[in-house]
Amino acid sequence: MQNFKRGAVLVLALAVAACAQQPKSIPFVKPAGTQIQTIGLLTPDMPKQAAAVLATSPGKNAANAAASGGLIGLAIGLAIAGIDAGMQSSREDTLEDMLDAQSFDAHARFAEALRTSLEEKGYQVVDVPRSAQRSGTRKFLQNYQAPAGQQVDAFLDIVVSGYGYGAASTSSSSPYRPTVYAETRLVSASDKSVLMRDDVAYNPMGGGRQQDRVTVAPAPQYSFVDFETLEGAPEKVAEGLDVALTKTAETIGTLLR
Amino acid sequence: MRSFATFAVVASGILLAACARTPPPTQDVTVSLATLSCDQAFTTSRAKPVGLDPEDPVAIEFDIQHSSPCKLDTASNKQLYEVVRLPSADSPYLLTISSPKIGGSAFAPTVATLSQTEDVRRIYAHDAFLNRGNKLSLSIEAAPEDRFLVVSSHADIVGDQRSEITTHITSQSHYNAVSGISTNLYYGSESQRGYTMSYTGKVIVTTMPAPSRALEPPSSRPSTEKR
Repeated sequence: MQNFKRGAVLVLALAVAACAQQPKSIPFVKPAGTQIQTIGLLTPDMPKQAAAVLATSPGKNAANAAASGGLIGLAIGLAIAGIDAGMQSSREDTLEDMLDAQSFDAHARFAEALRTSLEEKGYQVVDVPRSAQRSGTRKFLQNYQAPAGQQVDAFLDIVVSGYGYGAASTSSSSPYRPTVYAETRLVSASDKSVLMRDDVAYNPMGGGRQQDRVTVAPAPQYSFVDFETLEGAPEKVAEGLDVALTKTAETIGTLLR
Repeated sequence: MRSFATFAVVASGILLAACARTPPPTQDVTVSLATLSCDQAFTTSRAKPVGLDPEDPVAIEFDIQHSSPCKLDTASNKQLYEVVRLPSADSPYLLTISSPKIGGSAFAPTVATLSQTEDVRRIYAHDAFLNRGNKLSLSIEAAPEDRFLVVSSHADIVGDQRSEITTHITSQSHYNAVSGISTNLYYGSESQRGYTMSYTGKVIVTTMPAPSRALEPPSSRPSTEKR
């Protein structure tokens, strides 16, 4: 059920993204009279488990179509949707097992890549643990506090709404590829103003909101025609996700030049 | 009968015209400036003005062409350029420079802002331009002291061929006559396209009021407690 919710959130994010109107991009500005030398990197807020999403499928469409056919259709639609969710849950469990077997920790890799990216831009980085939030909510913090004894000039808050593998459809011409959705915000430690705000999407599914966020095209070599093929290449799967998270982190660093 | 025939010919012509696909837009790809002679310094004499509206974005579009002014950069590379006269402003504002991917090419951009006395204030190299949908784009907060924007081609990346994979999700609405309910069905596909970075191409410069940099207030929630 948890997997179904996560998949639903990712698909919903795609749909909402397509409808969103407000530009969310605020370019980085160094505040006058102060230096941004040390960035407090908050532990990125990201889902525990990688997603394995089919953005569209005959099952999803059949569920939609059946649900429009009155009460009986709704029951059939819900049953089909349940089967579809079960298949997604199964894929995600398999993906998690594969990544575990490769000792691939997406959270650690992303944090490490972010640190490297910021250091390459000349910043010192202080790790800032993320304060607990209500479970199920994934959003920027409202209050930022440096760890005791540490001083930072700004806080980099990153919310990953989804990461993992996604395919546009069941067609072999729409293979599974890695995907990452990250929302970023840099907040001044002194006056709590927003120094930068932007979204970065690696291999976004669908054309909505493309103008409002930075998009990174996927590396072509990490593609799997179907989930069975993906299951057969665990090392390449972990490597592809690593590339996606690293490239996303590098792009976030570029936003802070 | 004759007028009916005329009408049929005209109507079928209109229908055919409606069915005809408009050819996709394209632009020249220039990867060599070998025949051009270039100056050591740039000129702001033909600067194009862009305005600033306190409410809405103001954009100007122009092409950097083979006939645009040419100068040598610090490494003696030739670069075509155009200059934009920035608006007089009392406070910072948002300035976005975009290079749309048109046909099989995109202008290879680098930009600099100049003061009133034409001293270079800030330089943004090609790698500051990030992919935003169908364009390479850079947004900066311009200061009132930034009076000119020089948009130049960047020799280091001209000729680079880039390929990108894009996923598309489309929807179709289907009406169920039995239940009277419409359903959206979603279809996904993938496409791959390439483009070449060029000395020439279209550029869009947009000004906007500076965005608010205040932290969003915590979402207010109506009280559900009984009083």
